[in-house]
Amino acid sequence: MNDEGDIKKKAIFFGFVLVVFVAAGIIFYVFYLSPPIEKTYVQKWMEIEASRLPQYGSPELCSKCHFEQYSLWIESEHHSSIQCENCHGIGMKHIENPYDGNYMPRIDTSREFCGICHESIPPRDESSAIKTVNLSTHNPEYSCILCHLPHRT
Amino acid sequence: MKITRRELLTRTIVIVLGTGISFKSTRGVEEEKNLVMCIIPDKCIGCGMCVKACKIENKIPVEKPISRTWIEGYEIKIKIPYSESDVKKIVMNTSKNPFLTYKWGDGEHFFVPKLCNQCQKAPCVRVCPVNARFYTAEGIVLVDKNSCIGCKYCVTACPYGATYLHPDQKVTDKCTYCYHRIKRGFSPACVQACPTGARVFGDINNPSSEVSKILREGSVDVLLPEEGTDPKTFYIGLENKFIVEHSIATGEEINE
Repeated sequence: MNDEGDIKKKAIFFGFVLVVFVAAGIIFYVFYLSPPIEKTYVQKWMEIEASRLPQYGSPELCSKCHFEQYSLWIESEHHSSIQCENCHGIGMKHIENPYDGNYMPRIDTSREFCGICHESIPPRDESSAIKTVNLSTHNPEYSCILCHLPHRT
Repeated sequence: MKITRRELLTRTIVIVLGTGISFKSTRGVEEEKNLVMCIIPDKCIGCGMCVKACKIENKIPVEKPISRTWIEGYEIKIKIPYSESDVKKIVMNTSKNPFLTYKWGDGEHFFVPKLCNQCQKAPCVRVCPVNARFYTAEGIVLVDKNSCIGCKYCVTACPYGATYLHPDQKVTDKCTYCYHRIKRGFSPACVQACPTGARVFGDINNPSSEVSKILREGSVDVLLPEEGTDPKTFYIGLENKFIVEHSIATGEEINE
């Protein structure tokens, strides 16, 4: 009677151990050994789309090298809402190759460029969100940056 | 130290289950974002920086009159009875700015920037015969250009005119909210380029984000709500302009 009880207990114990090991094996297989599920077209495209290199950087990236200009610009009264690359041109390639002359950003200082925002047209004059001038009558022969410093206005 | 059989068993079971559950939970958890754009037409000055930035960023031919985002300039003459010739619409979708050269007349003038509305029930996704259009986890509609066959069903289905056939790639193309930029932590090119802050972009699931605050406080509209597309591009303060337009259309008197 005593022997039988012992055998029963041992059987239950080994049964338990077996179940635990099988469970551990399944979990191990699922998380470590199972082959990765093949990606769907959608997942593949999301990776391709996300891997495209941006053309524009951000002012935070510019500030890492050009901190003096950045601190001037960020404290300016009106132009602080305009990002660097709006006027200086795309800069991501310059950020990656800072010394490559081919990727140097070029700045457009023409009157027409300032006029993109500051030319006087009726919808702008009505809202008066920004200062506008009539480019054809406002000192037509001079460059804007002679009087107006873009980083300080 | 002595361990009884029962303790050993319970401990092994706890350890095995615990590791399994912890692995499961670390895999499943991902921040759920719901990215939306909010446009404030009152702030738009029609400079077209967003159009230029978008075209350069996404390599769309700059001089061709197709764009992922564009600006519409309106000139509405308030007159009763209303006729269609009283509403004039000027579209900017190249690098050339037509607003500077246009001879503006009398009436109400305003700009409305437009782009893909990233509908949550997008007609373009529904009609695509090859399932090339799909929603990402952030709720952005993307076009799988490897699968797209360029049949242009989506172009006709889109009520906003926001999708088009790319002239070089010969597949359909549209705004992705600059998916490649937001995945790197930048803001979309048009949002970054806007000098007056007429475009605000952010996560609506985060109650402290700028876009959530604006949407809580302002009066929010979407374009063409009657289409039932459930857009994720919101417009703030558009109702004044549309009341004018509506009252012209119905011949009601306008109290200025």
